[in-house]
Amino acid sequence: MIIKELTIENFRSYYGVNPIKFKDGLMIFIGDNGDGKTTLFEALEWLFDTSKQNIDSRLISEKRLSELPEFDSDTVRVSMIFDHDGEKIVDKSFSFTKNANNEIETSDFQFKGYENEGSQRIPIQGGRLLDRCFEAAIRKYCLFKGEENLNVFNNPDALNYLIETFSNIRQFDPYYSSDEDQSGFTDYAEYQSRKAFEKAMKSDKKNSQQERELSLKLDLLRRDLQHIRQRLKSNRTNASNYSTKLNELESNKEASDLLKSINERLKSLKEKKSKMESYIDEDYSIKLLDDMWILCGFSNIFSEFQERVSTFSKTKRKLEREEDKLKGKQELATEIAKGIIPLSPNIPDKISMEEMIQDEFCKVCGREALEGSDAYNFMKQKLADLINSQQQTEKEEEKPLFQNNYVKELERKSNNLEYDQSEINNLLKSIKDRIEFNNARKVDANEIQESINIEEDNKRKLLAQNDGLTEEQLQNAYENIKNWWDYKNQAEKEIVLLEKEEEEKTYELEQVQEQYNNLAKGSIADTSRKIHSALDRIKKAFKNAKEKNTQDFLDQLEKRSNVYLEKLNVDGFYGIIRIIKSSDNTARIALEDSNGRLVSNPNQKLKTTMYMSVLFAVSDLTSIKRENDYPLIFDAPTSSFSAKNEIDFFNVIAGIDKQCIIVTKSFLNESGEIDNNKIEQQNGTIYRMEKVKPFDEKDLSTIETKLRLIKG
Amino acid sequence: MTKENLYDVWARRNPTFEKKFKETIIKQYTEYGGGSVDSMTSKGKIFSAGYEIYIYAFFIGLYSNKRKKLAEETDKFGQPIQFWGNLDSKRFRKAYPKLRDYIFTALIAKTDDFDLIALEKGEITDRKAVDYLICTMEEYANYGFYHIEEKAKEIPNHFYKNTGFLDVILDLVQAVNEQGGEDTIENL
Amino acid sequence: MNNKDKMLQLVLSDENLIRFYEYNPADYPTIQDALDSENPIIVTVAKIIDGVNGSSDKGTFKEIYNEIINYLNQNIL
Repeated sequence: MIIKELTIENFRSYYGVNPIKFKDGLMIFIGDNGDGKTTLFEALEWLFDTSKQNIDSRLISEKRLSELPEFDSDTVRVSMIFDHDGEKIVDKSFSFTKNANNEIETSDFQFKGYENEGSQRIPIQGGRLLDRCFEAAIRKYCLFKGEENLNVFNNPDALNYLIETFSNIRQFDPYYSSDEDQSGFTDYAEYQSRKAFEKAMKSDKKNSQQERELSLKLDLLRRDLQHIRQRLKSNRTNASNYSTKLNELESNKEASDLLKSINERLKSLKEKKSKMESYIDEDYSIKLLDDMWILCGFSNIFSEFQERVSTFSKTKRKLEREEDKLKGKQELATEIAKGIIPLSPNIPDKISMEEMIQDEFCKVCGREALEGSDAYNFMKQKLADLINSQQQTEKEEEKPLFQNNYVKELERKSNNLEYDQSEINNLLKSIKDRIEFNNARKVDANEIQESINIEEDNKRKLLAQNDGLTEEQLQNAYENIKNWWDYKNQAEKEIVLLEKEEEEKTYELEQVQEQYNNLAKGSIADTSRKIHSALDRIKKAFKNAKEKNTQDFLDQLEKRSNVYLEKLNVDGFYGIIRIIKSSDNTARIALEDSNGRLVSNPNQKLKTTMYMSVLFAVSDLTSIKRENDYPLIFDAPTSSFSAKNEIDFFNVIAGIDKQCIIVTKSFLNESGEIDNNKIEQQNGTIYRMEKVKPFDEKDLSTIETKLRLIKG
Repeated sequence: MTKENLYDVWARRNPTFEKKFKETIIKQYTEYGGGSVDSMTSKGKIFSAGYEIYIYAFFIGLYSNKRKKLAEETDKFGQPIQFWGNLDSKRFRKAYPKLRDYIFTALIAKTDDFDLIALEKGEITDRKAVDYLICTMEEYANYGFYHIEEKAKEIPNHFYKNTGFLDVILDLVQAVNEQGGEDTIENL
Repeated sequence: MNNKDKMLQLVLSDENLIRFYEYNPADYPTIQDALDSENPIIVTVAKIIDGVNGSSDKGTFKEIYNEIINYLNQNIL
């Protein structure tokens, strides 16, 4: 089967009718994220689904919907022209209408097919035609979405499915099915001939007693054996199921671990950022008042104030002294004569004075004032004046010159506020420091935010690579591990015991059977015995033939896979693919080095080429068996490849004689433009798919994908 | 008979401002007259009490050393100066009672008409003296308001930036320091 | 070589069968060759493959079974 043309109409980002010509050999569709790559793939999946009428209004092109007038209709359609013993067509569609409330109604699902018979085109139901030409079993090995879906043997039944579909194994069923089933001819024949033999034995009176004993024994043994085999089957199923789960977990384990460490880093980064941000205090306006930042320019003004107060004080005292002088107060004459105007009585204050007198030390000038000295007496007098000035003044006949003493209040204020001056003087620096501090914290927070962004990006990539598993799923997976390991080990232990039992019981059965047979020798039942014996051996021969057939198939698969693996890994290490089948009929694809040792953790690129090699091999075997070839369709299989690997990869595929369709992001450079050098080096048919500009990422109704043939 | 402190007489007063600034500046930047949901929630207010922007305006006038006589239509705040800065009950705010003292000292320094000697002699009443101080205060603040208005017209959202108010003060202080030839701080 | 012949080859290549009934599988490349054999086991296998012919019908089983029993009764040593 070769696809010749695909037409996508109003399907998601494919607005209007979009016919795409397909050719044999390699076809590459290049698109960036969101350009419509996966949609192309999904359009094919939608077309190929023969299991149900898959109308879904979410598939309708938003752009078409947005411009559809009320009450108008249009169609969503995907149709394919292909070659499969003649040209054929499958066409799936449904209609949609915009009703009065701007709601969309869907209807009229159609799945049509056409094939040519002679010169006539015959219509046929689409699903039937497709199932006939491209049956589900084959489709399963032809369409692969994403790199992580390439491991077809993830599913334990996958190998059985493969064997059943593509080997001859089913042909054996009529002859021999399985030990438990026994519905094949040779089972029937062996059973019937055994019955005949036993009947003949029973009719021979001579040996009747021994015959009875032995045949009883045989019956019991056969029953036991059956039970053992049933238990073996169930244990094998269990072991295989848990094995699969654990294998999935293994591949997710790395992802799970990575996710865990990313989340831990994110948490600590966010905490750090929060902390940095908590230090930032930009309430500058409030600080002007609450922290009195507004006083940052106040120094000079305060000095002015102090000077003025001082001036007032001096002037007042001068006038007072003059007054006193007029009133003839003698004790102050000396000081006036010296021209020195004394300090106000309350400067220094009383407590300081008392202290200095006590210490016999003038703390203003820093010199001793021993008792009896002039300095000491001066201080004592001053203290007395202070105390006097604090006492109520006598009522004098004349009014004093100065009724009020606001100067005192102002001086006190001057003193009190003086102590804060150093702080005030440093305000400008404090402000600058605070601003710098805030800015530094902002810078810190931004740096941390960049790290956070990187980690978030890594997390997104990780989740995208892991088959769309949600974060929760990856995290929860771990909790099940212990249980699953236990169950699996239990089942495996049981299996070992049971297999031994089976062996012993089979041997016992054979022994007793031998005894029974010997009983028959020389009797009339002998011929029956011989016949039964022959049919038993023939049955076993068919059983072995069936197993050999399966093994041959797997050997072929393995051999062909390795041929492809070598081609796809020209430059690097590749190892040897082994398809390992275990007794429970599950299989794994494993990689061994040349010494037969398992390569336990191949890198993603090697894994991808490994799986693809197996898929190509399966495809080969399919075409041999079906005498027809089928296209392989991959969505983004090379995201883990380096640029060079990609070039080699695509060129190898181009050399394989098969229609191979790959949707990819490769061949684009960092700015999302086509890398023309790479295109030149590449063989095959190449389309570019991209969103029509202009478009608004947030508005789906502006999104429209267009394809452009750029090579081939 | 103990006389009242000059400071206390001054602190009991309630300075006036030009009425027009109530709507344009005071209500814009403070929660003054708050009750109206509009004014509170539409734009984040910067200061809580109305007098806070008054204090700010005063310092603008003070540092610029420029005064402006008040126009005819005036208004006053609900609280006299003595209560200004008592904010301990407000969340995230601190009280700043000392600022009143400093304002007082600035007025003493800058009011030329204030003759302490005359006051001491009893030639003028404390009320009269305080009148002079209040006049200085009002005229500095008035200049400050006009300055704020101009600035807001020049750069409409200037005062909504978190450094808006601070910048104006720093610029003034720097200008003063430059004149005095001292070290300046970097521009923000 | 058609499928029946392939199956014949696979079955006749069974070691136990060869050992017990002493024959050379290479002598019997096709069903027809096997049916013409003098070795009753060879003939039986060929009869089974040819007679059952991929059917799972119990009626067919019975028929073939009767045929080979009769044959073996007369020919087995």
